Amino acid sequence: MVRGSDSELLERFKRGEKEAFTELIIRHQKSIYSLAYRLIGDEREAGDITQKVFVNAFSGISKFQRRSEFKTWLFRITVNLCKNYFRSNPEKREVQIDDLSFSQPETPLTLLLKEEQRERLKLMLDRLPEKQKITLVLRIYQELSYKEIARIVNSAEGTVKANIFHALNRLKSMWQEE
Amino acid sequence: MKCKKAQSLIHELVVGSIGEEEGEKLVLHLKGCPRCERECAALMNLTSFLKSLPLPDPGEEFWRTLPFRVEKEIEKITRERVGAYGLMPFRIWDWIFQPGRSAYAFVSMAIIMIVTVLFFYPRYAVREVDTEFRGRQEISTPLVLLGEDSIVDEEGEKFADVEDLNLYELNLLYASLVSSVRQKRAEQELFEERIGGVVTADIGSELNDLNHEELQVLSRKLTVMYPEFQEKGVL
Repeated sequence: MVRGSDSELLERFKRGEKEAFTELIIRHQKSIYSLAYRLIGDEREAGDITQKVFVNAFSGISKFQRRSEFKTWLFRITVNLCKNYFRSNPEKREVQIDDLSFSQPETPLTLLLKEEQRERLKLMLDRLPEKQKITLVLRIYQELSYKEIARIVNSAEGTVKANIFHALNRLKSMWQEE
Repeated sequence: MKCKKAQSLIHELVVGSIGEEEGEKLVLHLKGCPRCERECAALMNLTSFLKSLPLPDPGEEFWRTLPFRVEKEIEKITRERVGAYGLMPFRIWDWIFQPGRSAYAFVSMAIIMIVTVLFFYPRYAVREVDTEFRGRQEISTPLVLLGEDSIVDEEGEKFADVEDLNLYELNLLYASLVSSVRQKRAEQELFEERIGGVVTADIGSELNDLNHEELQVLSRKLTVMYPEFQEKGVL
């Protein structure tokens, strides 16, 4: 296993050490996949996007100016690829709130109800406006700071806070209507 | 603390970005405000549920092979760029738009464009009009305005109406006429001053009809014919 910080690995990769880039992939692949899945909700597509993120990162490594962390830059690529996915698949965003699917076998009632609620919540999350959803996911699941989120989505910190505020309020309204 | 302020702090608390001091103030407010307390509980419950949404695992095989698949994809893209002859096409845009270079590239291009426009456009515009004017002009200067409308050449042949000329052509015409008139008048005055009107009768021509070259020729002939004029300092 190749050791070192992201910056050190990048330097070594630029000097021609391919294993350094492989280590960067291994290090960040799960968080990239997690973000992609939370945003688009499809396991297979999230896997494809994860692969594309690293391909794009390899191709554009000379453009990485190190004004932010490498991970933040990867997240930015991920968010942009997910946005492209939504643009080219608009029908995927029109999720019906009544469309429930259960992949697990029957469970006791309470667990079943909870599973149903989680499914509904997931659909509600998919119904959020794009910017609100992205900022909420980056905060809740990736636990990034407002500053880092602002860099990823290319907005001001105040705008990020407002988007998260509105996203939570909208989710709460939808939840209470159910 | 007012409820409006507490509401915004509840969101900060829920997403885990509240400061210690503000957190303590919020807790105090919640203890005394059942409405805000219910709001906070609802949002905490919602956020907790959000965090518990499952993340499907694509499997160990996916994680193990991802670096390999990324590498293959990169090789495929590189092969497509290189092409059949094994030559990497020089992508000038990649070179120009490297960090730090793009600003210089844009400034340089802007300067080149401005200089090109300033240098060539007026000449081109002038040349266009000039050519157009000369295309209509059958002979060069001197031109004479006959009356107020027509332009005629030296033999009195009309070749244009004044109203057909554009502003630039009118300026050229005016400048040409003024120049020739001034020149002739100056030469005439000089010649009359030196020769006097008596010579005009002898050579059978009006001084007004002579151009500059003719006047010079006349002057040389008179010098030969009337040497005493030269002695007297007239010529």
